[in-house]
Amino acid sequence: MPYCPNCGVELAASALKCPLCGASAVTELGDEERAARAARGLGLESLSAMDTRSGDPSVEDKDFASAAGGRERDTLRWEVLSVSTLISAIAVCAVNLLTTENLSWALYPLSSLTFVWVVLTALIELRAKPALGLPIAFLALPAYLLALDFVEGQLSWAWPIGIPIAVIVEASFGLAFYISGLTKWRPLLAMSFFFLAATLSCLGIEGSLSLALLGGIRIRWSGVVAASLIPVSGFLIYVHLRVLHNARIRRLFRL
Amino acid sequence: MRRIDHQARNRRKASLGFTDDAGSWYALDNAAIIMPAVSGPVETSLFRLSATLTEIVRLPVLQAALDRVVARFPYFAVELRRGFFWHYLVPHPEAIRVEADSVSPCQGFDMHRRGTVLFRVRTRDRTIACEFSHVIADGTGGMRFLKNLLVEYFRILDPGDRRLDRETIGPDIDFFDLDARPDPEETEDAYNKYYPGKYPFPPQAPAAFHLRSERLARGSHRVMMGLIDLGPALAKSKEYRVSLTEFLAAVYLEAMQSIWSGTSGSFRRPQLSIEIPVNMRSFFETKTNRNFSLFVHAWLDLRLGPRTLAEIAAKVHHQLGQEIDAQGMKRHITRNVRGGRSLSIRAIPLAFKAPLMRSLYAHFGTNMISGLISNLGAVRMPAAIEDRIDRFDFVGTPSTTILTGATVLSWKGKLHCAFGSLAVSRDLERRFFSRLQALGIPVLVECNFKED
Repeated sequence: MPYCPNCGVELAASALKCPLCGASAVTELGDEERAARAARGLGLESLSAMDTRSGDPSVEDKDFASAAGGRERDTLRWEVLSVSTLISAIAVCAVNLLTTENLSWALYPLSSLTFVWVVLTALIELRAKPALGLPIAFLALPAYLLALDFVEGQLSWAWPIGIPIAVIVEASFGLAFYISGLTKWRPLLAMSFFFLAATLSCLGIEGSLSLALLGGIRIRWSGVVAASLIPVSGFLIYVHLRVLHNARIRRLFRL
Repeated sequence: MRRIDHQARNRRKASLGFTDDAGSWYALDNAAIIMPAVSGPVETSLFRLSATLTEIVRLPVLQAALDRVVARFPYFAVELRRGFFWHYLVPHPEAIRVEADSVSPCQGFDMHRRGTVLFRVRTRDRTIACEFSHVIADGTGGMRFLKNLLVEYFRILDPGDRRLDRETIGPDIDFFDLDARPDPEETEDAYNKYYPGKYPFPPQAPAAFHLRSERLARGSHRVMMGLIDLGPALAKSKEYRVSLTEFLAAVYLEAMQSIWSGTSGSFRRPQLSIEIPVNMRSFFETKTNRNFSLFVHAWLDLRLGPRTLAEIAAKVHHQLGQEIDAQGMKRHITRNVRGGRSLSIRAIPLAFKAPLMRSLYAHFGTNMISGLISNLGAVRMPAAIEDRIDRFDFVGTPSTTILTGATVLSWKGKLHCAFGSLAVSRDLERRFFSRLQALGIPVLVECNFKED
């Protein structure tokens, strides 16, 4: 019978080479020699080494240590994001320079690209360094609005209107997200928190606008929103506490 | 949740002359409903059971035997149809013809094409092969068909041999009276029958590592078959204090562990998970020939460092022991059945449901497993024809995500372990079989690609 000199396995009578490794078939191998060759084929020096190692000396502890998380994947994602953002920025600047011979309108897409890059970088970093990623993600929008206002040549609307609205909206929804996580994303509770966040955002938007434009806080349409959403949120919390307190989003929607 | 009276349903089917409620159509069982959505020209959902005889197959005799057996298993001779909410099956109007076998098993099959029967019988030289779509049967149902086909083949070949008469073979769930009417219970959806109602779902596994390899050309399916001496394999399993399936799963995991350690890049997920089908007939009584198997997982978390084969075997033994019992399996039934019984899911038209099923299958199916090892167990045949069958083989079609999967059965002191692969790389097969050989278990390796 033919045998594989590397794998040690027996081969079909008509086989000229091993289907596993491609080595030319040989004859006349004893059982012990076949086992020894199979062990060597796996990279083992001796049969006794098999059960003290994982069966393959190439399997090192360091291989396993490096897998503790998706760090490599995150780095690759960040690299792809950065390269694509850079290429886009260069293309935008080049088009602007070739058509008008100075940087003018390109500053707007550049601001937007920078904003997207900062936010996505912060989100990628969130898993590894949430203490750093969260503040960056939070500050990115106000900084972006400030940059847009600055591009226009004077700081007119960013400080009195843009930044307060951005901070209130981000803080409201960030808080809703955080509290939903604390309550294990129970569907009705999460919905009620996000309704409350939307209410707070509307109040903040109208308050900031009226303060900047009319010189005092006046609540009109956002009050209607609040009067509509707060009872709904209360009802959802009530239903959750009375009926669906064990529901989970994944199960409810068969995810 | 509405309870279904399966006994009444089966009685009604029987009184109607073995048709379903509305006449000549069959509903897909709970495991099958996802298959049409996730199957394609490469992932055909076919599995193959074949017998190699000691003499050349005589085609007219095989065709005659097939005609007789198909009449007893009419629920296999069906085509797939699209309904508004679900797929369904209708009888194929013509006789099933024996086809010529090909080098790549389970390929060249499109279940969605009108006129395609969901199983086929192929032959070449000494081999009789049945390829079944998982839409109509699992390994147990398919093996029952093949066994009856073989018995009938030899009965027609030797009409005077009384040893193959029904009375001589005796009562056996695998061997059917071909003159009797099919029992409606043979097509029942046993998942629904044993749906326990309010049971918790099994825990969700994390995404698993997958082999990275270039794919074989479309239509190619490599089968690396290892013929392993059963005695030494059982002795080695006993040495590790695990069952044979657990031992093979451990060797599989160890091979994957080695491959994982040599892999780099962003696809190197630290979870290895092997899917192992469990025949639910061992826990819940049914005569069904449709699907009635579920999956459990043996896994390794590679962030915790490499393990020796002995450690892996012990871990696999405890993992499977913890999961495989009637109560544990009911959790799996619950997960599979509850969605299909939900009114909100049933009300979604098939056109929208199919993409959703594909997505769920990828996310909660293939994404969670690194490989598969399916052990059909020991094949038994009547003593009168045992000596006329050289070997049985079992081959499955792996998904394009896991690329390679193993299927096992045993016959007359040999373990037939087949790695069906869509990958160019043979690293997994090489490590698996070499490891067995290194452990002192003799292995003979064959490949369906003749250049090998």
